[in-house]
Amino acid sequence: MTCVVIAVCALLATPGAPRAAAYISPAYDAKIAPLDDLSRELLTGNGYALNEDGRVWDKINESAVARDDMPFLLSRLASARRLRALLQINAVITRYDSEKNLTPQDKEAVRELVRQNWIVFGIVPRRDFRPYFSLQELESLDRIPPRFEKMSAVLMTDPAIDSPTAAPPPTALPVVPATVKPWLPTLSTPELGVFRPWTPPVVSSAAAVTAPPPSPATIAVATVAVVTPPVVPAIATTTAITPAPQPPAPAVLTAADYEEFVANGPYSKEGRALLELIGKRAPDFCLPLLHRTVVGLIPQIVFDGSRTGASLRAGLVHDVANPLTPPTITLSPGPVMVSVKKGLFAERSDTLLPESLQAWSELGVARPDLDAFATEKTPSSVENGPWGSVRVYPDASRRGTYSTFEQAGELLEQILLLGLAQEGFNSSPYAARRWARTARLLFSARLQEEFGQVAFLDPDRRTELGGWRDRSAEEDDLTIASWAGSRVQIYDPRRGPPLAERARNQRQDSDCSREALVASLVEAARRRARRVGILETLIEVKLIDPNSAKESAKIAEAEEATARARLTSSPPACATSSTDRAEGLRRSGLIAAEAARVERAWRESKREGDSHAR
Amino acid sequence: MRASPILFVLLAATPLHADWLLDSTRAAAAASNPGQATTAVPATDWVPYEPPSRLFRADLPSEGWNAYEEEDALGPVVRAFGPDDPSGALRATISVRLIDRDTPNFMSAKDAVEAMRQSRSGREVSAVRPLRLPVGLARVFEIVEARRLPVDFGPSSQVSLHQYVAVIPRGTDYFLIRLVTARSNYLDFREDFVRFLRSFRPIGTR
Repeated sequence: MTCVVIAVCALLATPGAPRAAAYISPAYDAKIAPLDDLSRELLTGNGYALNEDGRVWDKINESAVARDDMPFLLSRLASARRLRALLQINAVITRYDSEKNLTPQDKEAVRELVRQNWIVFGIVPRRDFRPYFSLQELESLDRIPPRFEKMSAVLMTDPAIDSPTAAPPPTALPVVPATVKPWLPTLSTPELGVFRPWTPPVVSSAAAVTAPPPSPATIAVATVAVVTPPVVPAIATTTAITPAPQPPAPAVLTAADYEEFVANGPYSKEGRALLELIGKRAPDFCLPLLHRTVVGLIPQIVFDGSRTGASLRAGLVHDVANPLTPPTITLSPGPVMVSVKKGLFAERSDTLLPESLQAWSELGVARPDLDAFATEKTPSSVENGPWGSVRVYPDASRRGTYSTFEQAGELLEQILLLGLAQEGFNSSPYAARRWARTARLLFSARLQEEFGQVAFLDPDRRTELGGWRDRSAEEDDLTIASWAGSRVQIYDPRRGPPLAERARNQRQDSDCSREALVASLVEAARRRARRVGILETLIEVKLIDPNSAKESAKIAEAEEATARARLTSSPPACATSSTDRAEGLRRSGLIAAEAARVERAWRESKREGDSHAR
Repeated sequence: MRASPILFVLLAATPLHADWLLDSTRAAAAASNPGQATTAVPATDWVPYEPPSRLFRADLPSEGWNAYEEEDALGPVVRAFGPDDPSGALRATISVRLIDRDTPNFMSAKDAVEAMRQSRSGREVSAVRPLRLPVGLARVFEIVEARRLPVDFGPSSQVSLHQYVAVIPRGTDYFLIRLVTARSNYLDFREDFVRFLRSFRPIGTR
């Protein structure tokens, strides 16, 4: 033991040996490593002073802050600010039985607090408060990366170092100072400690960056905004963290604006009734988009099953190239059905058929000459059943009736799909569809709760809603397996969900021209597979002549072979740049995440005996 | 089940179980690399797959299956998409979820199996069978259900769907693994599903 002590002493006495015990970290010098605005604010608001010599002076301990201590100090101060904000928010929310009952004033107060402290919030509180903001606001907020995730200096980003050797900002780019709106805290809770109002940061020109050009989607949104100027409050921006000025936010229309527009809009009595219904019963998360789309685009509503294309319940006709033509949403009054017995001992089952002549001509076969397709034919009887009031025709074809409430749900979904496309959220059809479907299902679930039954839905929609409510994992798996099939192809099994595709593209830096070739070949093959699959179904239900089906299948194969030869000899050009695609997928990822969050919140609200102690 | 003599005649020129997606992807690869052979890699080739969340690791066929992970209302879910059904109504899909206490409406594995096994008109459920896997003892059962597909587009006719469901307990949590196919061709995927299960390893227990 004595030998060891002597050896250690000798080692420490040796010149040049590391002397850890004698090491004293030098004082932090803000001239060498300038502090950003957030760091300055945290320090000056908590008993520290920034001296002119660059040192950060601790006014309580009467000493300068050491360089090594600065990350820990900033992390601790951010954590304190986060805690103070959460306590203030908690003081507001706990005055109510449920967050849903917050008054608009208190809800705005919570939003303001969250906005002010978003920069110090980590992933978890950000996720918890997302329901308080619209999609556009979240897009702006999400530009602020989480900087202080936990009370951990390891996870903290150092202040931006603007050393003299650092590369100067590109002078060719115009410098746009960030516009910051002063915040006026609406709450004052002195019992929770000293709450210092945040002051706008001073933006240094070196740290400011150029505003990105507005995306086409943003431009589209701006054209839609017709009633009131944007009222989305400015987001807390400190130059080192969120330098980009926010794109113009879309107008916010109130429910009263929407109701007034619908009351005086160019709609029939039936169309107006549906719009009023969805305006009152649609889930909250989709209302801003619903209002903007209806007021901004003025979609026409038509009740005509022959104009829905291959869709059974509702279709959308929107000529993007001709913006002066208003989009048209067509609603089917009811499905055309034939009942078929597949096999000797099998029960009869209904097959639903599209009415649109175009849908049949795309298949290469003539539309069957069924009485139910002809409007002038008189039904032989009328019966009530799961498909509503069903008209039965002499040739045994039938036409059911969709209820007004079901049509309202379909109309809601179509309007939302239209709005998402208009605002540039449709890069992934899967994400857009999922978002709109979630809104429709929540709308139907709300009606089910009010009515105490689901007879207003047709049997297929009833099964879908029941499965979604009670066995959501199974229903989701079945739905997506169906969406990935060639008949539907809402979910592209080659690309996957939007964020997975985006991550893959970033990893592989995929070749755009090759990607375009693959996409074109796959689409040609899918068209053929879809056509052959549908022809199979039609033969099974004995609706078309097998010979004409065979001819059509041969034509489909020939078309695919021709397309394949043409594409491989002269590959198609890139449709969109990879940057645009990545941005579009990012936006699609946002709405996919929002759909999941909204559905999760609904499921948690339905849970019996909810307890935070769980 | 779906096959009629006329159908076989109709589709004689088309290989019934060739997936159009795999076929066209191969064609694109051949067009991009003109010198290379376009012959398919044998279907027996399997590769390990691990989702970005590193929830588990399992083997998947090297060709014809594409797996992705995403977050839905119940938490992270991994879906692997296999070949399309000949009718085009749905694509064979394996899904994997970890059900834990953070999952909305969490139920224990036993209760969840009973809830999933509820049958009704048009839905038949098999008995639960134990399946010994390297990761533990799984409970496996099958569900057969008639659904009209596609739900939103016509012609929409009744398709008999088949599900293999495996529940693999992991403490109070459990993995829920499901293979969805049409009943007409579910046996084509049975071996693939069992191999997937046998190679399944939660990352934390390796």
